[in-house]
Amino acid sequence: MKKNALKRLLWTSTLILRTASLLVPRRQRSEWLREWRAEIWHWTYFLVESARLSPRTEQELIQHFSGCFVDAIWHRFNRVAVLNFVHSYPLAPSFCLLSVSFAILALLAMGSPSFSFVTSPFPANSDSGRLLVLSLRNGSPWTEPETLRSSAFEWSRSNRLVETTEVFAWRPSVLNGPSGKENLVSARVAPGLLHLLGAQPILGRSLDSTRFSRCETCVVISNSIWRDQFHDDPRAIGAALYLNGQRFEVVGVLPHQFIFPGINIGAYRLFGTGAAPLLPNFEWPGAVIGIRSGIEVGKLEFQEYLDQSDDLPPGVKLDVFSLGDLARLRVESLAAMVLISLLLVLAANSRPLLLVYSTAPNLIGRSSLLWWFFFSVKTSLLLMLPWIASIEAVQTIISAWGWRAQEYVGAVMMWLFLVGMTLALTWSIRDQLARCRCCLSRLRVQIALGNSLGPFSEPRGVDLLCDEGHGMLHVPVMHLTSLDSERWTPFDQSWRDVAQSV
Amino acid sequence: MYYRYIVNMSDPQKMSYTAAVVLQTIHAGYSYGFDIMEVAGLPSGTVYPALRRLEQQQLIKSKWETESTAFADQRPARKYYQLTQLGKDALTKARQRYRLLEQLAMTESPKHR
Repeated sequence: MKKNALKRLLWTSTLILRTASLLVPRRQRSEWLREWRAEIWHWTYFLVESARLSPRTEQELIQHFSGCFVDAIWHRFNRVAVLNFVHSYPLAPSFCLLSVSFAILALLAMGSPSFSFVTSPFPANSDSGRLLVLSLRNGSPWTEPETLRSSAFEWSRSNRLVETTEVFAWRPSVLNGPSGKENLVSARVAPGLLHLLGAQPILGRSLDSTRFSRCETCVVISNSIWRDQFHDDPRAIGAALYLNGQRFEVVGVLPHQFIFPGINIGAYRLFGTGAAPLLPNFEWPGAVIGIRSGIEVGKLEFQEYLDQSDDLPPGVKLDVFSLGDLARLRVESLAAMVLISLLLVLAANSRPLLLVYSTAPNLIGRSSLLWWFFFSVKTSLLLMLPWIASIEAVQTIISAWGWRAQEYVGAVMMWLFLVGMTLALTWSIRDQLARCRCCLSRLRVQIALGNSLGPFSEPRGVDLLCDEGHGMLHVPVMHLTSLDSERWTPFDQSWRDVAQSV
Repeated sequence: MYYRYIVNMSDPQKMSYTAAVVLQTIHAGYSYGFDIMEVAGLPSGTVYPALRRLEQQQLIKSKWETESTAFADQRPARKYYQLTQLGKDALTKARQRYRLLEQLAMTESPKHR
């Protein structure tokens, strides 16, 4: 047992050491490894000989050996050389910091729901350009889903444009599963709907017509419901769920990339063979139309056909959306939310922003370009953070509490986003105001101005000098009068030697 | 500004507490990594970079012990560190800055395992 522990400890320590040694320059590596191997030997045998080798000391020792990374980094990035480099290129640290921030944000964004939200196939069907989604028009009288199903069947028979029609009806529902009750949207669907939308279950099977006759109690659940109720357990297939008090058997789980067009549906079951209870203005019908391939038809043409069709009950009007429309609507609503939030935050920070503008380098040239480039990149990156954070927070809330929390999620996201944006923009402005307008380094040298006679005898405030002698920023102590305000005074070349010798 | 910082790095008056503790430990006779860490109570990620920096600033110098000595003791060879004259001077000045430094590593005599 102890022999195994010792072997494991030596193996892990050597692995850490080997990994860290990759950071050490090759010509110094063998000596570096030799010294650290001696270190491993000493500590390991000390523990073994003193009979102190336990899981706790083992963990402490591994932690101790992790210090070899710091040592290895020291060898790779010589501090003096780095400082010399920074001295030669003062903008390099800012550039590196921005690059690293951008890389981290890009990595975060690639793994975040917001990225998959924008890039995910919508829906997964590669032939989604030929799909049209129908829903009841605002103000149209309600119609029962079974009636729409009959009408849709007629369209596929009589209209040469239509290859297939699949109807659905969605409603707010209560699901009772192994992890308790939760509210969701469920849908009764025609047998081929999921297939038409390109949804391939990751577990179990889909709802198909061959099993239609004996599948009235089958349900296919979305990935989020699977996560909420079964915690990603593959044994969910065959398990029982109660949907609106009725018992169902889970037959399939959909992939997380699959999004039903326009509605977040958590559970799918088939239209029953018998009569379903009427739920006016509670269960909403809709249909997905597959246009025959090789025929170019737009949604307007189909809309015209529908408006002239007498297959629908009197007064009932349907709207036609292409999947592209729905995707665009989704992006537009997101963009509108971001834009409104941004405008609100910009309006709240209008005065500090004006200061950034009024104290910016006057001349159109390299300094001015650098100043605004730095400010815009920094601010954009910072503003992306609350955006990603708020979406991640929503995802976490939904994962933790399930769809029961969905009614609060929008408010939480908006609040987090607004507060995060305000903080990000405020920090960015403050940081920008405290930088040299020429080299963008922080203004560290402060000179207090004024006398004890009071604010009206002489302007009081602080002068901030650039370390490199590029100029000086005057910051008044108060803005009660218009006599004094922030101003940047650029210095000539002669000041640079003076500033550097301070 | 950075240039001034580089110049000041080797100034004993500006020496960090960690560097001073490592110098004092070596001065007290604890002369290889394992011993220095044990006596100074600092983690490896602090002690080793400090040793590298002090060696680069020529405040200490290192020497590997012979393989035969290590083999006789049935252990890997050690790298011993010792103070240079510059290091001794720096330690004297650092002691004026960190008054309690001298008490460190003086309570027990160095021993080799």
